[in-house]
Amino acid sequence: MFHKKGAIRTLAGIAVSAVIALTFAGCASSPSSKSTSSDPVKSSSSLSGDLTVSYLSGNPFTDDTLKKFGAMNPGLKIRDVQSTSNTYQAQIRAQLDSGQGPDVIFIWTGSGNAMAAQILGGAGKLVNLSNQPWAKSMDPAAKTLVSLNGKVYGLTTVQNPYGFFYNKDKMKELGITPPTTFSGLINTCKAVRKKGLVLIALGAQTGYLAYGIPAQLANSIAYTKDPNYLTKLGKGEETWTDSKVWNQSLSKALDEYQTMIKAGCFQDNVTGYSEDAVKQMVASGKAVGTYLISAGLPALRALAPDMKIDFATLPATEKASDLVLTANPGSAWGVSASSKNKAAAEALVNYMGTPQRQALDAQANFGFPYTVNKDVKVPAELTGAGKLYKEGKVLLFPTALWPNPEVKQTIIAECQNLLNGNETVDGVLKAVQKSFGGK
Amino acid sequence: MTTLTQAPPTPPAQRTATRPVRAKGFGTPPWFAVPAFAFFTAIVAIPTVLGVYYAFTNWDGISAAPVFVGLDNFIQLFKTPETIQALGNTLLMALVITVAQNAIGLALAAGVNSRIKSRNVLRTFLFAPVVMTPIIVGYLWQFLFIPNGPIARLAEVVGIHNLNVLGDPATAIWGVMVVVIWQHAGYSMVIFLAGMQGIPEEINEAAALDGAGVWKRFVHVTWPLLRTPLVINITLSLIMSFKLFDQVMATTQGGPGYSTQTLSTLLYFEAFQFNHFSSGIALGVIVFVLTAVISFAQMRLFRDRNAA
Repeated sequence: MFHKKGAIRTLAGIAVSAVIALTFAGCASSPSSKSTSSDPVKSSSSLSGDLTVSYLSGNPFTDDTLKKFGAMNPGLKIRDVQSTSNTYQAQIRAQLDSGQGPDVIFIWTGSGNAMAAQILGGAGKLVNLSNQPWAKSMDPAAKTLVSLNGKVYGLTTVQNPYGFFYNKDKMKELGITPPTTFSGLINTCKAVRKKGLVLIALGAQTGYLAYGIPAQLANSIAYTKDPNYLTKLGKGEETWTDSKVWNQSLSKALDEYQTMIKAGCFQDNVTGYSEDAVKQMVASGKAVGTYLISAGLPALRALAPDMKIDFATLPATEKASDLVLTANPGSAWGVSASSKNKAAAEALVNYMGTPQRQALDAQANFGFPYTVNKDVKVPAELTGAGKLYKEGKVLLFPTALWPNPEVKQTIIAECQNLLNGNETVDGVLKAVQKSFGGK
Repeated sequence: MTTLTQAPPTPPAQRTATRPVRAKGFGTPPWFAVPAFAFFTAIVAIPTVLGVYYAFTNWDGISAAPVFVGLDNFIQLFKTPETIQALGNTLLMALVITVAQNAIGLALAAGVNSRIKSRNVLRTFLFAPVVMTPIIVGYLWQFLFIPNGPIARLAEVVGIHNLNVLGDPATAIWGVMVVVIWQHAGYSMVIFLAGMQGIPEEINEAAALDGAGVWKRFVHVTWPLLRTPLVINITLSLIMSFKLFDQVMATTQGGPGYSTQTLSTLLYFEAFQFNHFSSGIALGVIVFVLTAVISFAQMRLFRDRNAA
């Protein structure tokens, strides 16, 4: 059937406007809480004006710091700009590039990314903070991470230990204790395996966990050969390529890693497990513990709220006295060279750098202050690390001092291949050695 | 009975004469395009051209004065085995994903283009993965693929032991492809379905009257009329495959080793992990050129076939 249709023309609405509101700022606030009597920086009437502080979102300790600092300085209008990790670097870097950066900035230590202290400092984007009180008493290793050509560009406060976090009750039930020698570790692995469990659930699908154990073992071995080896490498007195101590230690550590695999220290198919998956293994009782950075503890704690957790560093030698703690450097704070309120910005960083705030920061983030502080309150989950820390037996994770970020990516890939049986120890060593040269 | 051959009546001439503007249609003044053009130029065109320029410099992402280095970044990239592997992985993924996603999408479209009562529920159900965030889909499949996880246990039942899909370099790339195909097959389905529903029922009825069965009707009637949706689907899935990133990062982060590294994940590592922004941009240019050349070639191929 044919219908005759009229030629009706309808003028459609034309949508033209495109308003893009890119509000990167998470929230802005003017802290107003009251100061406490223990706050180390007293109110200064000279501080006034605006102060913008940029950092990664989800950092309640920094929120608290700003609140307290704001209360001590009522003349200051503090604006906190928080971003998620996937947008933070690009966003702040663009602001710094255009001379519109925040006054105080959350940055990274070393030179591993475009927002790292040495990169930004070298590009003239940060204020030289060498004369600040905390800079003078800063731990030498920490200072290396935030300095370039003798100038300090950032304050770094917390280091997070890497190691074996285990279920204390499960250990007791199996009748074992944390091993203090490498052969003891292998025997413990075998004993646990015989009982149908694994000692260390390893999430080698997650990059840092694939190479964490050999890097920590290498650190420990190198420490026994030369306790200052990292300082020498950090200062450039030796190069990673030529350092016999490091190269021999890594070689031995990779051999030990393979011995651990063969002894059944880990579950089968470790490269198929992520960090989250192995935490679930520990929480469900399939593994005695897992290898982690302490910053990952809250997630494990959330899965097993009632579990009694403790920490042990993995032994690399046959002497219990050789045990050292390996810790990862935390984040840092810098002052933008384009800041219009440098006095307030430096005052805030100085407040963050007081021993009291550093200790509180460490506690809030399951870490330790760089400068050994015997009075620091050690969280229950880090009891096993507290002793080594208080003895001053702490070494930074070598990643922080590697000459370029490609080394990390190379060692992740090579260790995954080693774990899968697709690479040899020599192959890993050669690839890592090559990556030290960068591009 | 519908009279398909009858031509529509011509509008009365008088009406055209009295209302000339409406009869000619709504003429959009060219200056209406100026705001959109200005936005496009500022937000897309200029950054794109600048980006291409930076691929030929040594820009590190922060310095204000990049130095022109010619083709150095491209030469350097192709000297590294990781780039070659990432290129190979990307091409393999593009091929497999494009073929499998569209084959499954076509089969699903044929299935739900029926009169069964639950067809609308099925269409919604099959399209649901498309609207999920790729990262979430990646994490979900990471859990499903875990050794001793649900899929590994199912594999045990059929005699495949010790399955470690995402952790084994030999199978990891196929695992990632499964994730992508699972998520996007519904997208292809919807486009094919729209094409199928545009085919007049009378043609199928006529073919059925001539004795053609379901398969013959599909091969000789439906399939030839699905050329346009097919071109759209292939183009979209190719583009999506070439810039594959989220699912890889969520499931394997390019590992184990470099076995699932794609050009896009390598771009991310070069730019944001290694501070080689110019190399990252050079990789972006490579992805752009590859996508453009292959998409253009396949569209040309289909156009030539249509013309023939």
